[in-house]
Amino acid sequence: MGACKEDTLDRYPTDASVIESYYKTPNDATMAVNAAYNMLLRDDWWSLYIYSEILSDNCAGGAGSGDGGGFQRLDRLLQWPEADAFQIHWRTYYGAIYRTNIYLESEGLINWTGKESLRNQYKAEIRFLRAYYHFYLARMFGNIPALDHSLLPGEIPSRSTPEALYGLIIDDLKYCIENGLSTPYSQMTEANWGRATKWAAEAMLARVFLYYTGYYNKTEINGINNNVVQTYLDDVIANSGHGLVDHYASLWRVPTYSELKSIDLYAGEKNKEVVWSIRYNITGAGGNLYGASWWQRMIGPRNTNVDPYGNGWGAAPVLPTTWNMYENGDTRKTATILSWADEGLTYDFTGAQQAQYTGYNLKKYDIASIEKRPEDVVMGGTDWQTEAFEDYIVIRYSDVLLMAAELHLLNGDAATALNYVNQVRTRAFGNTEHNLSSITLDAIYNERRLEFVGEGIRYYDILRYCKGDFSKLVNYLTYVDQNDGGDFSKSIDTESLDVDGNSFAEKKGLFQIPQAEINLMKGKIQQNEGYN
Amino acid sequence: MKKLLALFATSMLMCVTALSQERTVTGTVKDASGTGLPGVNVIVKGSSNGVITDLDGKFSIKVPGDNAVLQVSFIGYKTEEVSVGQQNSFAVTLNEDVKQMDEVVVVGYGVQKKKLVTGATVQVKSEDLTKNNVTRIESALQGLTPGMSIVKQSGQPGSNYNITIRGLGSVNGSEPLVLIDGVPGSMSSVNPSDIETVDVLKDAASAAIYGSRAGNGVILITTKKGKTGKMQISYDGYYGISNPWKKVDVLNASQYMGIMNEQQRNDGRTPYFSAEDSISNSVNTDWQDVVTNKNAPQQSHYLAITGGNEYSTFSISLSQNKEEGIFDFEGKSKFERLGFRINSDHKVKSYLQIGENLTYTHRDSRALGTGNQYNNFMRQVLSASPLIKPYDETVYDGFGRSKNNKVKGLGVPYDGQINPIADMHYNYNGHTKNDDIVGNIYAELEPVKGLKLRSDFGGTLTYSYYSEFNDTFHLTPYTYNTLQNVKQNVYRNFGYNFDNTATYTKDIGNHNFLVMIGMNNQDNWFFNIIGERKGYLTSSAPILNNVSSNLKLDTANGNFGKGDARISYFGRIAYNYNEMILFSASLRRDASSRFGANNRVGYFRAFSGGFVLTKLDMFSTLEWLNFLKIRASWGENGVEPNRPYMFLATVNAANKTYAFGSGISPNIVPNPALRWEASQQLDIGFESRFLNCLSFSFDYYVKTSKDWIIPVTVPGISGIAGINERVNPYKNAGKVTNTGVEFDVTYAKNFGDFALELKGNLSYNENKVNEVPDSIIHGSSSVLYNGSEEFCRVQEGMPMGFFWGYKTDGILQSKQEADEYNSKLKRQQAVPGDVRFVDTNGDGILDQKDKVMIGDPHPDIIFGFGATASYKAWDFSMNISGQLGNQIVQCYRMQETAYGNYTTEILDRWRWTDANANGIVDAGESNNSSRPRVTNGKETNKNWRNISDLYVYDGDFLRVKSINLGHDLKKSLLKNIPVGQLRLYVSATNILTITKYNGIDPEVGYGSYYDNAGNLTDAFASGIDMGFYPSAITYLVGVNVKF
Repeated sequence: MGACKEDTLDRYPTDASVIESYYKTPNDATMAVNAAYNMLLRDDWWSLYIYSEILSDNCAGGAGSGDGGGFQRLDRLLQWPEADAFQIHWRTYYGAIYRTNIYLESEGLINWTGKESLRNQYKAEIRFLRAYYHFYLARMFGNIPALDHSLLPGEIPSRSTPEALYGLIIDDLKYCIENGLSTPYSQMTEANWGRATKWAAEAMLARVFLYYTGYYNKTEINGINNNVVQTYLDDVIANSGHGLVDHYASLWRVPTYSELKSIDLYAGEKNKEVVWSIRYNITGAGGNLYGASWWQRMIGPRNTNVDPYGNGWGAAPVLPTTWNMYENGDTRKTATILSWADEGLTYDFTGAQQAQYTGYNLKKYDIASIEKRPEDVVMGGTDWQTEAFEDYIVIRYSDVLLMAAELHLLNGDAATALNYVNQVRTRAFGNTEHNLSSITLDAIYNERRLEFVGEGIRYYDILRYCKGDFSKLVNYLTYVDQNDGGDFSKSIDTESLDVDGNSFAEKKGLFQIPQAEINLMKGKIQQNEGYN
Repeated sequence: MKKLLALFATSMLMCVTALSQERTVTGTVKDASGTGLPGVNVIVKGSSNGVITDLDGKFSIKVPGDNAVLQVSFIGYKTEEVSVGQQNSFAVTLNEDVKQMDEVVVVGYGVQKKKLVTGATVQVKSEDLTKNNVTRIESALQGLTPGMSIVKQSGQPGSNYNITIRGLGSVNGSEPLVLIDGVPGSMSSVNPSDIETVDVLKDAASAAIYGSRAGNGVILITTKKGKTGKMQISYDGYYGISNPWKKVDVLNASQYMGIMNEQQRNDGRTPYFSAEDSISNSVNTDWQDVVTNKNAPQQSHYLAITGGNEYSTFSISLSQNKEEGIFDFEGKSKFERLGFRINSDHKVKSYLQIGENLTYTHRDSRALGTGNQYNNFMRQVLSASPLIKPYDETVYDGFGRSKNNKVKGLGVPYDGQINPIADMHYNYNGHTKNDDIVGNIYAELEPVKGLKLRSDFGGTLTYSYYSEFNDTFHLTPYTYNTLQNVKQNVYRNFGYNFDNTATYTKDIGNHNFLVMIGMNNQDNWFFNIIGERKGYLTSSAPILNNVSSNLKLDTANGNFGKGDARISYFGRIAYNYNEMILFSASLRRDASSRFGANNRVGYFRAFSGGFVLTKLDMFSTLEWLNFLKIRASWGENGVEPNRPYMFLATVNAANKTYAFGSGISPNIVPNPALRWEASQQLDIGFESRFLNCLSFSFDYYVKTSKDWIIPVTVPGISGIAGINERVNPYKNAGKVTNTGVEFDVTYAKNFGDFALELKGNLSYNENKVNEVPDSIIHGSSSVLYNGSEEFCRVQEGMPMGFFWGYKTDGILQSKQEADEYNSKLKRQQAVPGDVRFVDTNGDGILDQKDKVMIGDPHPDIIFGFGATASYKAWDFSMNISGQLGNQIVQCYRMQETAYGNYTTEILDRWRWTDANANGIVDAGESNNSSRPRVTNGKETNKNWRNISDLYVYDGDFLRVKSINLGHDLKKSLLKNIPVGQLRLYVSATNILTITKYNGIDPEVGYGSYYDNAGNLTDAFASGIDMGFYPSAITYLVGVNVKF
């Protein structure tokens, strides 16, 4: 009877590496960085970018009349029917933060000889991502715990102070500004497109700074104030090579089809206006492969395909007030919004089981119709649910211009502010006839709303405009539906589009932290106000 | 009469004694069919004088005189004694020994006399296995094995079975360990005709010798061995036709239009169909008819040759099975198996025996989807609109589309209603071919009497090839494929199993000892390549080379390496005193690569004892009692993790790609302390035999299974608890108890030429979860239909996977009832025709807290009954199986879409008694309906969106699994033909099913499912009828020939 040595039972998988022996070469680092970027693709059906359109005064909740009314409830910042509806965000983004922290803790094990600049670049990108992921959660849930390390087993942190949380985010972005790729747009290679550059970090820092100082009514954080941020934005304007494309509609596929009538005029996903985007692709089709953007499928007209508008699940139907706010001649109106009546199209919204039909749908990020799908086919799509692949532009150059305008105005330089705003308006109208002659903060705010409908920006602008006085939300977010009496969903208590802004004020605009997570953290973190 | 004869014989003996003198006599030994038996021992009783019969069964022996007695014995036959007298030539017929109590059964690493067994085992023999004429062993075992629940996963030819022995013990499933001639394998690779015996080790003590993998029970399959004697050729063949045993009553076209219109009216909308539509409509498609493969053929051929002499024996066979599904389209549901087997044993020296078993099996299968809501053709069939034409030459591809659709774009229908046969045409294109080789070679040495050293090396080689070609199609806006694609996958796995045992038996007086020690080593290697290519293809041949254009989108994955491995040591001691007092103990030490180095060793103990009461004087004198044994056993076993490396911290690349390239990050958090799921079982039972014809056995058991390997819920903030990937650490937790009793009774008696055997068994099991971490393990949502609530879970105090939902208390028949209901419950806005859900906790709000157990998928009782009778050339057999006390959740319809068809149950819905065209009449008073009003599914009251007992049905059934009638022409008309047997038979399978269940089949084996990532999900779930591929009624004619 032969004795067998039991160390032959030490078996390791062939399609995975054991963690202790993994981080060795710069190539390993590349893979680990890619995995950290990969978390950008995980919004699944539910993205903060749709949420914030619905929560804002741009859009209603919509979606399916049989869906349980989740989006309509969200529109009112009520709890979703499932108490843990937002757990996916909590888990996904803390998972993303974990990947960045694991990288930062492990990159010291790598032999970087001869590749020191790559090391700095990767570290800069990872810190940018850590900031972005924190900021995503911070906007949803308020002052969450900021994590600058991977947690030990059993370690449960408390909430961070806003200063600590935003301090970490700002420091990370500053690090990226100082160490990130500073290649100008014209020299940016295909392979590096989508990396967090110095320009992306400067723009993102401005967005974070404006949100933080607005929401918490502060003026400064970690040495960053209006003046510093203004210099960052001016740096992007002067040195990044980014700029506005000629046609507003050409920034997205479906608006290109509907407004410019030829996909040849599409500016493409790598156009100069894109300061930073999330690079979706088609590989998510047909399963959880995390490449496609599922959430984009939520916004198309429900169960209806009308060339060039592809079918979706009908979330975030545009409010009539949003359609009506545009001046005549503003190309942004029809590039942003599909008006069924104005385009002479009919929509059997009852047959399609659309909740809260308003007559308007978003065009940006809608997925092209079946007739326009051959292009998608080239990408290999087979499953309509998961084949949305259009890059989501997180920060456009026009946002850089408008943020810069805001800071210049605050710093007393109205002329530059006016210039920047008018650059945006000239492009929007295709001429200078609608340019403003003078500038106010409200005019900039108004321009921001017109410019960014459907891009997930408006709600967080509103929150920061309050300067910590959330009673102001009542004015922004209370609205009564003019067309009441239409066939709106009966799946929740309300049958109209009416929204009461008080619900937002008492919750300070924040989401409910998933109760299951609070339980798992043994109550170390308290629920947000207004949800008990 | 008997006494008289005995007296006569005795007096004869006395007479002849005086005349005794030594002489040589000759004779022939034959079996019951008249074939000469070679190798039979013939000895003169009380002497060492013996001979062995030759190839023709002839012998010649010296006898001391007329009073000598010849003892004729042969393994497997009843020993005969023949008084010599003055005769010189003898014709001895040996009958096969079928007496239960002298049977030998297979136990772990050996065989044992059944009467000495101290555990709860059950043996099923070849002749019972082949009676059902089925291609799968599992099906053959149904109804024959008390304590075993055997449910087919689908009625599709070649489909697998779920086997649960003595109740579900783990949330990770219940798959028992299967050993084929000692080699771990799969029951799918063995033809039932090749099997000599199937032995099931049910109690923990019997199974504990297999330790770490025996927690769900052990099934030992022994294939047919050769026999000494003349070569025998036998052929068994049958041909049969199958048809569905029933149809589900769904709405026909006019009923469908009526219900759809009523649905619209109830929602305050315009009806879809006008009166003219109803009159002009000529389409009324019965989809079940359309997809039925009428008289689906099946056939089986089995050719075997056995033989051998005193040195070598062999058994070889060749077999083929072919079966088409009863539901089919374009040949997409069929199964074919081809195999051969070579077993041989050789006595090299008096002290050395060697042998081998080798089986090759080829399986070729095509299957329609029988899985979850998205991959289930039967569900499509049951819910498809009867208004869709199956075929329509006006549509570009010839398949009908939904008629009330607004056709847009490419002629793509609008409402998402799919023509099921178009779906079957374009999908389910997979084709699987498997090749399995299972074999072992052994040597057994007996250096000194009583000591046997056995070394057995076995291997399993599995090779599987999968191909698929998908063409482009457009069925609805949501169901299409815009790019052709092909897939080619190859899997190969080789595993070896090496057993070495030493067994020593010694009898000291009436003290009989057995000591066995042994070791086992298992290891395996795997290899796979998975390739997919999308593009425009030159032809529909499913090969990757077929892409014509520049456009090639490829997915290629491959892996190879060492799999899991185990090293084990084990031992058993057994003792009996005069076959009266029985005792056995075993211990196994297992080390498995599925655990970390510090925690990979486990010890599994077992003890058992028995007492044969009929050996006592006080019982031995009872004529009516032939045998009575009481026994008790206790033992422990383990269950391994179903995936390797769950203890290890690894990083991997799956789903971590970004635009810059592939990524790598941690994919699991380690738990080096992970250990076996543990199972302990106490068994108390007795076996008895009365009046030489009636056997009765009983078992009571308590099986406790604990320490399930389950993912730990960790706070999301740790970052390791991703929602969509498995990075959670695993831990051991949880506990469930199965308590049950089993009865088994057999009556067998011959009345002259008439032989009768009746067998019945019944088992009762109660499954109760004792501990669950965090008190609940949740089942998935979106199982019954897209967006459906969780309804199946594991919770303390409840049976595993019990159905969880709202209780209902009828339908609100009138406005008054609805108002009353609304006034009692906050936020309810029910209207007449809605469901009255029960506020079970009485807090005035209807919410999750009101959900209770609404059904139990586990049967309380499983039973089987078999009858066998023969009269001269005729034989008859029947086998019944069934179960009682389980519930089934049925959902054939996507509840969130309006257009799906209903079963006719909906005709008993609540409706307005005098609705006008718009239906807006407030006069719907009580009509005692049992189903809620029909709506588009968006009513406030969530009549169907709330999972309630409306979905739950009783699943009791009794099924006549088989009836056989055979006639052996050799025994009647053709006595002179040169064959041993020429039996013709007719047989019917599933000819009768008695059940109240209104679904397509009460024997529903669906519950757990594979998610998109291919992970088994909800392994604790069962009894879910999402549209099930049902059993068939099969009529067969067959022939058995022996030469």
